[in-house]
Amino acid sequence: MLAAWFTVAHDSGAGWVQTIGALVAGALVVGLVAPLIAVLRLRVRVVSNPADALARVPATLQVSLSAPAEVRAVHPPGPVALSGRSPSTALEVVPARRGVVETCTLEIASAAPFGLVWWTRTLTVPLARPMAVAPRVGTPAREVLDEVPDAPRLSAMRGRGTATRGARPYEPGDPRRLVHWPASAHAGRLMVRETDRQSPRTVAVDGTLPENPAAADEQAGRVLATVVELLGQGCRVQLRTVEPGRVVVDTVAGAATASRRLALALPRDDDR
Amino acid sequence: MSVLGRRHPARRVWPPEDSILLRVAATGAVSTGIAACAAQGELSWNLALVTGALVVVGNAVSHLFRRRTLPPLKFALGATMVGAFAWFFFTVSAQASRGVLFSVEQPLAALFALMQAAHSFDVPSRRDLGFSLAGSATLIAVAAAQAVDLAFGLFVLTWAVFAALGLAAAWSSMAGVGRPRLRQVLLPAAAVAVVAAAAVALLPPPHAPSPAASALFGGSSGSAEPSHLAPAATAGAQRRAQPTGAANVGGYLGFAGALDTAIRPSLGNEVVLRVRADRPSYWLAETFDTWSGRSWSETGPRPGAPASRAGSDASGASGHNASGASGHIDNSAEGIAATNESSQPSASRWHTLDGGSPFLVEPALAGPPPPVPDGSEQAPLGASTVGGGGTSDYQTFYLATAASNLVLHASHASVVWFPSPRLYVSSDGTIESPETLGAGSAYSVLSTVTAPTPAQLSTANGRAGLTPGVLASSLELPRAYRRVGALARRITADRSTVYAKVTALEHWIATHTKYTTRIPPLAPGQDTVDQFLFVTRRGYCEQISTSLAVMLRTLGIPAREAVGYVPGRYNPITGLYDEQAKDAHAWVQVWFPGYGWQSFDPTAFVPVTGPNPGTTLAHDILSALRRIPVAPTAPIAGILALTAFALWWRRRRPTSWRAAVTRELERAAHRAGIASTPADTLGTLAAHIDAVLDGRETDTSTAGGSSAVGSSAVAVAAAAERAAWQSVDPDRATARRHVRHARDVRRAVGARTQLRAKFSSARRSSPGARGR
Repeated sequence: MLAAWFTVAHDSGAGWVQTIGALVAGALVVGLVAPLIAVLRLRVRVVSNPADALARVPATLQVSLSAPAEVRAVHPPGPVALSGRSPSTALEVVPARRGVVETCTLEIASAAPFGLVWWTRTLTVPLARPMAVAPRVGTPAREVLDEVPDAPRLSAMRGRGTATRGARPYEPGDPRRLVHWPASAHAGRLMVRETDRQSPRTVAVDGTLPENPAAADEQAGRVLATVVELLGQGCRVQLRTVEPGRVVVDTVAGAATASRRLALALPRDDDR
Repeated sequence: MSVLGRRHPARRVWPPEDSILLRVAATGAVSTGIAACAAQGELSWNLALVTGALVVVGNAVSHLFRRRTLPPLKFALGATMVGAFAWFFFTVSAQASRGVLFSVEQPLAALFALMQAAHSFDVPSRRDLGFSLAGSATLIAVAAAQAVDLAFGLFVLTWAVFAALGLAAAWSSMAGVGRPRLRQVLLPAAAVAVVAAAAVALLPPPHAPSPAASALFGGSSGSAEPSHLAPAATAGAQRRAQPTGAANVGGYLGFAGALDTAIRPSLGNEVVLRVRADRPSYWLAETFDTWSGRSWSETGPRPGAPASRAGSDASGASGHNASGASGHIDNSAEGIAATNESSQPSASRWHTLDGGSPFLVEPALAGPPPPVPDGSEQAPLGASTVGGGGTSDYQTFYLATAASNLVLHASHASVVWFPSPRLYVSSDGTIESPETLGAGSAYSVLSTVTAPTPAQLSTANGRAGLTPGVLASSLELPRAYRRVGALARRITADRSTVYAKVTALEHWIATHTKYTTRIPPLAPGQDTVDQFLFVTRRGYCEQISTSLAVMLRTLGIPAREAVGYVPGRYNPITGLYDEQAKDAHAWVQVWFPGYGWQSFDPTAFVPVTGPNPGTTLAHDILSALRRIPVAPTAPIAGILALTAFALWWRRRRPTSWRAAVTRELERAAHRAGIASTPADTLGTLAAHIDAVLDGRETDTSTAGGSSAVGSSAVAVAAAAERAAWQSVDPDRATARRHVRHARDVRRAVGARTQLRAKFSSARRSSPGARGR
């Protein structure tokens, strides 16, 4: 079109038409090339991100861009966000599966300075810290729970024991409420109770996952649900998972620990 | 790092645009385009005002209702657009039926303006505003098609500013960054300017439209209506030739029917016409064959209407320049030679071309036909020969001021497109119209240009081909120029051919004379050629060319004087040669058998006299100052001066109350004659001031003592220092009070100093005091 414009201007002898055509061409050239330069020069950095996330639940990253642009997370995916002039932009990502996310693939787009043509660039940037994406909590494994009969419901004094074994002389530091008054009267000096310590039941849960990623996610969700259930029943849960380079069998302190362990878990341990 | 570029999908939802800046910029760009069309005559001002107002109102309505859909409004707009198209097609069809196809631009511009006005009522989103910006480019381009001067650059600049603002605002709105910063507008605009300048520089310059195009667009010879013009002259087509009473002579008296070499108008820099041509040429206005000793005139009666040539002659004779060009007559003592004011063309010399444009000028009418010798087209005659190579030269002349009725042309005109029902063609090639043309008119000429080589001209000797009458007039001299003849014979003694003699005389003139426009007036009875060749040897084109013509005639070589314009400054933007009044020129035509009248410009080789740099500079500066229009300049200068004063005052004003206190105390110290050193603190200075106020000698140990003004300088200084060092500023009222006290101290010091000076002078003047 511009060539036709110039031809008409040239052959009709209209110098001003040629000048205006040159201005329009200049605007188009700048509008075409400048966004490319802008996206090439754009610097992107993930300023902060949560340490834990849940699969298929949005997590928010704080992304810093050196110039106004449109940004969208490709992996993990997320919706488009405009950076504006603020120092950092909140960018939502929705991890599809469990795992540990250390980098994020972003698509940045710019049409600066005229908004005529958009240029995009895809780049992978490291997260501020690894983000453990836990599986979504699934249905607990009934077979595991059923194997824990009469699981004791521990009192608030869980781990300290309640059955009196005997009495001993008071020592500085002993709680005052442990003073056994009948024994003290009998012995003529302060005596305190000694109780038997009751250990909670320890349940081993196997967190080995199948090869299929979807099945592995489902299995991880079931394991997590089971662990959460057992912990709720006061059991001590020993979770066995395969992590990169090793097999880990360790007690989990809570749901968060179990989530991180299952985020790290690999499908199989045949090679280990 | 992978870099992948791809376009975003075009399928986007365009939300209502909230950016007022973008809307204002789009409105401004469209309004500028409409105004440019009106300024170039593409739109009537009434229509331009109406459509411009509609654009403004429409954009305001669009902004207010951008979140609503108004079906009745859309229906009305659609109906309006359909109506506009119908009107356009009806108008164009009506014009086409009359054979006037070239004037489609006006209906087209009106259609564009109406469409923009209608469209402005339905521009809720950013993309719609983008369409408005693109539409403004179309409007400004339509106007640009008719622009021939640099003044149009104001419209282009205004439009470019609006467009750049609009584009930057569009991106800012997209990116959600609010209003664009100045840098975001200026940098891309500068980049666009660089790219555009490179494009203009690299692309070939525009050239004149071809005659074939002229024929295609209605310039066919079959056209009989006088108003029909070639497309190159469409700007003038709407401004018919105006048979004004006082014909204009373009500031140059040579176009007034006679050329008086004793009169020298001061030709200015005003552009009188613009020329679009295939090549630069000497554009001929007319030739003279009768020399009287101080003026040239034409043989035989003159054609044309009395209103034109008679007015022209009267203008020249009275020394008035009807063009308004900067010229004035340096020497008006002598009237120009009277010309024959016969209102009817002479059958012997002048021929009438009837039938309207285009006028076919038969070679037989305009003198001997210019043959095209073999191999002559690409071989220029030499530096002194006027005219370029090639066989045809298409020119369009745009008149910037009212002009005489002479039709300018290069070499031998063959076809003329001129807005007049008839033309007169002289046997010497001069073309006149019965009407003068006003500013803004245009006409086109197709010329045949020959460029015989020096070798070819060297073989052409004698007077063959000239009729006895023409030969007699081209050799006629008012008296026997014995000295001139002797000089010419001596210079050409060893030359045998006409061409060699011409070049020898040119060379002698170039080496023995100087060019200057400041020559003494010619006294009554003096001969121009004698004065130039044997007395002053100073002169300008008229003296130089006349001397060559007279010397050639003394040698028996047919020669005549020609006047016209030399190519002026070429404007790369418009592609036109801007002809200023000072580009009017005189040169010599010499007869060569078989080749016709060939032009020679001896002035081109004459060196300029050494100018006085100071005088020239002062003259130029004064001329430039005189041209500055006072009305628009004075308010702008006043605003600039006020702005500069405000900036100076703002910079000079203390930036804090502490600075104000410091300044007041320093002034007080200066007024009291206290010599302070850079090491003095404000407190020390204040102690000195308090001492002066208390009538004590300077003693810094008394700092803090009360003063006559109720608030000691030391107290004020202490407050300022405390605030400065402890970073504890008092409230605004307290700070203002400190400043007021410091000012009181300064005034008190001033009053005391004046009082003391009064007393001391009284004491000196009192006898008693003197005795003590």
